Amino acid sequence: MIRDDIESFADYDNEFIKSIAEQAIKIDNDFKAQKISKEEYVELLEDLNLQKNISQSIKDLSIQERLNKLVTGLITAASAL
Amino acid sequence: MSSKLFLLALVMLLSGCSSIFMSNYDNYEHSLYNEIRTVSELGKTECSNKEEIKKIVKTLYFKASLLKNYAGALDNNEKSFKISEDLKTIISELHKRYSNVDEVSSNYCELKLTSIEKAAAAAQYNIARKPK
Repeated sequence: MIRDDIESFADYDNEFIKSIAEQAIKIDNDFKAQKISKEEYVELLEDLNLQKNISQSIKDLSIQERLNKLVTGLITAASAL
Repeated sequence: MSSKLFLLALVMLLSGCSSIFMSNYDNYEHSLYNEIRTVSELGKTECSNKEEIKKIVKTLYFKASLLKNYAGALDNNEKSFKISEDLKTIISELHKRYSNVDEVSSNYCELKLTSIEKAAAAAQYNIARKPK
C-alpha cells in the first residue's frame, strides 16, 4: 500500500519529488533483498526527509505532507520488524 | 517622512524584497555544494574499494564542515545555513559509520552517496537562485 503510493510519485513532473520516490523504491528493494541492514534502511529513509527539506522547490504542502507520511510509514513498518 | 517611506518601498520593489532579507549569491558557497555533489557522484564507483572510499568519506565530511562554517558566517544567511546543516547531518552519518564499523556494505555506500549527491544538487539549485 505504502509502496504503491511511493511508486505513484516516481512519474511526477517535479524532478526532486521523482528523485526522492526513486530512491525510496531502491532503498526498499535493497532492504527486502537483505542487501542493507535495518539500521541502514532507517537512516537512508530519514535522509529522504532531509532531502525534502533541502529541496525547497516542493512548494505544494499537501505533497510535502504525503511524502512525509510515506517515508514515516516505511520507517514505522521497518521498526516493527 | 512619507517621501522616505515611498523611497524605501521603491527600493524594496526594485531590488526584489528577498534581496533585502537574504544574503546575495556567493560564488564560494555555491562552489562548495558543487564539490560535495561531484565528489559523491564520482565516489560511488569506489564503494568496493575499502581504502579509497574511506578517503572519499573523509573529504566529504571535511567539505560539509567547511560549508557549514562558511554559510554560518555569512550575514542574513539563515535559510542557506539550515540547508548546510541538513546536508552535514546526512554526511555525518556516513562518516560515523566508516569510522566505527569495520565492514560497510557497498549497497549502503552507493545509496548513501546517491542521497548526498541528490541533496547537494537540490541545495545547489536553491543557492544558484539567490539574488545576484
